[in-house]
Amino acid sequence: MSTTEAILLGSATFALVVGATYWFLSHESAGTMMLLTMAVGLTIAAAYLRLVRRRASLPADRPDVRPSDVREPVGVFASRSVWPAVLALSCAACLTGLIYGWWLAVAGAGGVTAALVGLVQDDRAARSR
Amino acid sequence: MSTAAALPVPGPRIGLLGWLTTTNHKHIGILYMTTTLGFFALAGLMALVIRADLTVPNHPIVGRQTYAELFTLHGTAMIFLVIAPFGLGIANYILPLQIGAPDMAYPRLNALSYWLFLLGGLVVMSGLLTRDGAAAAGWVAYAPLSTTGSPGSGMDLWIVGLLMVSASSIMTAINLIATTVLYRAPGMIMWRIPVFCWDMVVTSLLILMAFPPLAATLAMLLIDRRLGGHAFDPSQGGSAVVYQHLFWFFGHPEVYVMVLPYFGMITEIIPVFSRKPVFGYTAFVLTTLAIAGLSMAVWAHHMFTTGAVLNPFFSAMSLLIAVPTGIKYVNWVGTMWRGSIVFPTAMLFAVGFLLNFLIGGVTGVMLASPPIDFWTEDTYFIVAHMHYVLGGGSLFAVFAAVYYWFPKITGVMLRESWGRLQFWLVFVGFNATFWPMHLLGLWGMQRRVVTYPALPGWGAANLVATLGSAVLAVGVLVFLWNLWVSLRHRVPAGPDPWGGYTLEWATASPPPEFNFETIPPIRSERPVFDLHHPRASS
Amino acid sequence: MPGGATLQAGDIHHVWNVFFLAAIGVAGTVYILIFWCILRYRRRSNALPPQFRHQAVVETACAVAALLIVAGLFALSYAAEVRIERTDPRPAATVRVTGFDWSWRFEYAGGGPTVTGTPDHPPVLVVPAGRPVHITITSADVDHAFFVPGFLFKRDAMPGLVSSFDLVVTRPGTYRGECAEFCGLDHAAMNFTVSAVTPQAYEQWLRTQRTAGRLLQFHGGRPQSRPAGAAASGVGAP
Repeated sequence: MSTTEAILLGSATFALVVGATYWFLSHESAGTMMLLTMAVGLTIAAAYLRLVRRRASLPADRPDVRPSDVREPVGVFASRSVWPAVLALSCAACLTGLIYGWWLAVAGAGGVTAALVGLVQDDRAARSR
Repeated sequence: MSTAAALPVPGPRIGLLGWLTTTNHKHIGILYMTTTLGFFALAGLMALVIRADLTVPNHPIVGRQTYAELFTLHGTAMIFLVIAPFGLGIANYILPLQIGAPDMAYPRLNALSYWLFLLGGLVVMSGLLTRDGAAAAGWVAYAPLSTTGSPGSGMDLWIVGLLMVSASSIMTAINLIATTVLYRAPGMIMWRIPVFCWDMVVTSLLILMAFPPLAATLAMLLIDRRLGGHAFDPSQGGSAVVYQHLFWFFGHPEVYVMVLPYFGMITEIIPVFSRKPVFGYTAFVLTTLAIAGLSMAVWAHHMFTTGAVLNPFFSAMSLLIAVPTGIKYVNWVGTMWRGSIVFPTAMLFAVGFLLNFLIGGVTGVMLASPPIDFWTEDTYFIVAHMHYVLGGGSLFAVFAAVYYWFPKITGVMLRESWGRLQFWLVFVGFNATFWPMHLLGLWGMQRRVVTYPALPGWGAANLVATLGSAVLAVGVLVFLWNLWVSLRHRVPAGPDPWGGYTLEWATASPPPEFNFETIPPIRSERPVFDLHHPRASS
Repeated sequence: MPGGATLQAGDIHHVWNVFFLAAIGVAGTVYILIFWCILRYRRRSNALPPQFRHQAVVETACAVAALLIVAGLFALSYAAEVRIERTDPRPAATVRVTGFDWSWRFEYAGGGPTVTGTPDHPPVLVVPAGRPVHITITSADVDHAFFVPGFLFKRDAMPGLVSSFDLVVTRPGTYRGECAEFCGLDHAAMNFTVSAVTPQAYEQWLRTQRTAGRLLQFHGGRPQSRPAGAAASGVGAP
């Protein structure tokens, strides 16, 4: 089990124990619900890491390896893109449209769609290079 | 080891479009830090007006509504738009460097985080421009005051803006965890990453657990306000107590989101300027985890006076959390012990952090006792406590971090002379402002009041606090001056002006686009120190 | 510090004293250690100091000491809270306190009077000193809090929730009361007074209220109605 998995599972166990203790002591439902769902969330994260882990291939987790020993590229990192800013602005328009009028929310939704399409296209272009 | 930049350096001259479209973690870190500085100036000005209003008894200088907007936005901005995001901004810049990564795991998500943060903050503040004014229900926005008691759209803008800021924080948390899990350099096992990186990983976990409840609560507020909901309306079967449970389940971890990154920064600075390794690295990591876990179980200590929660449970948990925090002090003192200590401005602020945060910490232990809380809750004693941990603590660490990492980020040194002056002004000003508030609280002055009666000592204590705030403000002006003059008349810093320990000091200042030409071998949490001192054994 | 004029305040003050001493002790020790480091370990040469990373004994001892201190503080605080929250099965008076924007209403049980205030005319809560007074508290609108600094005590007034506690005022006198939960525009003006009088004076005050047979109420702008020969509403002879 990797360190990160251990931390996630340990925290999930802690949340479960505290949540159960809290329920039996107080019978207060809001806090209990939040503690139990915290345990569930952490467990999901730990399970994902376990199922999808590529531990064996991570040179970072081998204490004797040096950076100069490793020749493969580290990864693909996205370059410049205007779509994050557009997406944020569109989200702002969408949400403030809830206050000021449907026209604004619709315009925002249009911007969100355009930005999401743009981001996916960026991604496709980067992978094909 | 080559530190010369062979790759092109995209410096500040990338143009407006460049800043708008950047996905590089260093640019985004700079964007975060400058934006939080802007919100800090705004929230600080609001604080000065609040202090001016309270200088003498029975003599408010602003109206009641304006005053309520001021303390609401001051708190909201300092918490959501300054202290928490500055930590995330420094992490953005420094964490990939410290683990030997070329960038964050999800660069475009990173950029999205920033723009959501900036726009969310602006939306919150835009309430000031509306006819009925900005949100005025305090930064905690207790229902039903924040629902039926706040009819204007300023409150809706506050909710919506904070929903955006919440999304931003959650995305950054995901990014920081993914980056640390996936992109550490070869040999950089988890138990060799710098303490700052550990603190950021744990902070990110806290954000992931705390911000979704906040987002849900904000959405419920909006539904109550605009869509006919009654979640928090007791006359229709809702509950005002449940609002507090939901809010504080977020609110308490949030204060640790505002403190853990700064513990990490201080733990980078103190070892370097003491020329010793961190004392008790393992204990540090374990106590950070303990603090984070416990912080999720203490929320209702903010509700001791409701009579509606199981006080002893939360009292026990809150007292427990003092233990790992105390152990960190053992680590910090142990690091300085028998060291060889110098005091550039970064170290001055780090020591100031230790002295101030301790006061906030012990008053926190007092507040973990319900009997004491029955006396001091919602008084200026609380105001004193929170400002000692967040101001005397986190804000001092902000300054320490700026003085420490400014040379890496810009390639130039900040002036030590102005830095020293700033430190003493801020240290004296801060303590003069907030120490008297302990007394005011014990004497019975409540929070969030536009004015107060001329009871014995109240006027004098408030006067001292206002004068202190003026000194503090001058200190901040000196800081701004230092930034300006240092960037104008540049003194080059070189790759490693401090004799640093961690990987960011193994590359140019500022680093090239993908951070490293070569990375030295990693055998401990101090790879650059090990490089320069091959025979020093641990 | 205000001494605290109730039995409960005595407990609170005692807890405060212990926590305060512990805080001074711990913070003082750490301060001394920090100043020692700053002064004694200033850099004097370029030699590398000893690069130790652990001292298991010190670390363990400090952790254990901290746990013990915290456990002791919890025990003290818990015992005090149990005493503070104890209620008497036969109180000398029962008052229903309702906070509203922006004043207070005090309704005395058993056919007693109702006292309602405004920000300009803060209400007075008359209670017998030396006897348990049972308070039930709620709110008519938003969150408020009933805070008497002289008693070192407050309790929130929340809509949809009725909370209760006992007060035993040990020193007769008048005590300032304030609202301690931000509740809107006139939060700072939502004051009241607690007037603790001898049990005899309290009985006499109750009688005059009943004899007058009228609810004494202040409405903004309207003159108050007073029963003939009695003092102004709610204020008994000290």
